[in-house]
Amino acid sequence: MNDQFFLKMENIKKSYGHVEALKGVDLILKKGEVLGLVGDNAAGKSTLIKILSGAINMDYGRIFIDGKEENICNPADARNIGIETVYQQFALVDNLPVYCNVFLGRLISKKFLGGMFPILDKSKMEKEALRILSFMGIKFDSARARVSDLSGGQRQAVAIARAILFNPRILILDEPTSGLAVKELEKIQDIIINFKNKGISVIFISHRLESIFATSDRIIVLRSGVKVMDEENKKITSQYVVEKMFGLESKKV
Amino acid sequence: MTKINPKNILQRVPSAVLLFIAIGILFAMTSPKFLSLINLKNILLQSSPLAILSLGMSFVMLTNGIDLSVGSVVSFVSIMTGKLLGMGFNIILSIFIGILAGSVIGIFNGIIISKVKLPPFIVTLGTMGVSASLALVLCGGETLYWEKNWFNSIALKYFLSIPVTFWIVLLIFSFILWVVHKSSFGIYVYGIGSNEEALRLCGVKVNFYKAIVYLINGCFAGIAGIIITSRIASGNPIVGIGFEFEAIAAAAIGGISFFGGKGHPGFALLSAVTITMLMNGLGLLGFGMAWQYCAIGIILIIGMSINILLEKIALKQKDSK
Repeated sequence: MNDQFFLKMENIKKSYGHVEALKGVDLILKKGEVLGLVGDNAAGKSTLIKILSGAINMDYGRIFIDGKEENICNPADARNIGIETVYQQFALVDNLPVYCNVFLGRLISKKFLGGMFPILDKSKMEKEALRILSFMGIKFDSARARVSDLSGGQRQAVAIARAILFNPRILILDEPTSGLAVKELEKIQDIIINFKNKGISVIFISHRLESIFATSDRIIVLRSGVKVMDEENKKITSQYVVEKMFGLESKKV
Repeated sequence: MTKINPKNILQRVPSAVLLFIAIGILFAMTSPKFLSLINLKNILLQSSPLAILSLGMSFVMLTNGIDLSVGSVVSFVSIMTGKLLGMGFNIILSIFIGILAGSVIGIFNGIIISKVKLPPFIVTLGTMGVSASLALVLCGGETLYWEKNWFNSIALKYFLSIPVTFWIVLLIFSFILWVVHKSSFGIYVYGIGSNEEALRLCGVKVNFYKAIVYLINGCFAGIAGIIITSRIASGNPIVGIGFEFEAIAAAAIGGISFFGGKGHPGFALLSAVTITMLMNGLGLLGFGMAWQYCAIGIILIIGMSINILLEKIALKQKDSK
């Protein structure tokens, strides 16, 4: 395995009509590394991670994972090679219970009538969903509760539980801290550090720079579809990052 | 133990239950024949095609879709089956081809809706016109007859005092219950209607499941067409007219949301029986088809209003907690 470049995205380009969202972005991610990805609105961060998670297709570029070139055409491809994503809006189905959302796309069935009519293994899914949620430290009375009845923090937990349930190799968190209270925010940060300690590589997108600095090993700044900064966390300040984000006169500290 | 609150139960059931009871009581009081055993059996017989169509329509509406073609598909299947039987085809084969024809139109709808991304309203409006036209072309505008055989008596047979056609409804309903409560397909049907993008981001083959939903609906329209053809013992090019309206009304009164993801097909089935009860009762009182359609329109509006009212009350209660 190439320890240096567990994930390598090379010269990624993407346009929406005449608008160039990504103008040849490179990104590397090491095993067990937490990478903070920041930028102003329309900087291209969401486009970049959507390409990696298979939600959209790139126009040009290459993606290597563990030294092997991967062709990610859709979200199923990404999940199959161990890339899981927690989207900004959580991508939850409000009308479905918690356990269905946790297992969405990977519902577990058991054989019935000799396999002719497979039936959902609800008890197994409920048990597993509660186990993973309690591991995250979020209390749920029942995995049968509808997602529409949950608080913001609980919804967040369901989205993250879905992403970590099948032991991802790369976890992408797109604005997981937006709209969270301080206590919930600290919990998310603890969870990210926990993933890092387990050797899971994390790409963490957030507008909250304090969260990025509290968790990331390295920070990348995108501006107008171009990578303008790629530095180790320890070597920079939040002021420097802000300057890079908005293209202000910068002075590295 | 949790206390059962009748008020909460009332809010969880759609207007279908209330209308079923209200219409049942109304006609029981106004028409002495309404509650006779023979009339009740007749209601079950008459409601069978609509019940099957409403179950299929529920599935479609749960995915935030609609299918306007089912009535014309019923007519087309009726003519196709009648034509084949008139040509002396094997009865089983004729039934199979009839159902297959409905399924083909269904999957065509599904593929165009999911792949080309045209609105279901437009696609099924198109196939509605095509199916109705094909039915008329195939029979030259005339009703088709064939030599009397056991096909003619399928719809007239009873088993345990219940029409065989209603046993078919119950069989289909069992399948629906399995899908809704026990299969991953059922979860995805509700999911597509509620948040299609979330499913897509989770790697669910949304287009495939959508196409299957329309295939099932087309297949059910085929079965309904066969039942009606057997009941009227002829192939009729206009027998399906108005069925799309009744099926959509049954699903809507049954609490299936027009925006998808909400409701249970079981209540659509109950609504189908309620609509048939309404037509039957009005018929007994001497009101013709024109008044019967007017009454369906009225209970559609009343039913939907009750559903929205109950939803608002439930939401208010949830907010106040």
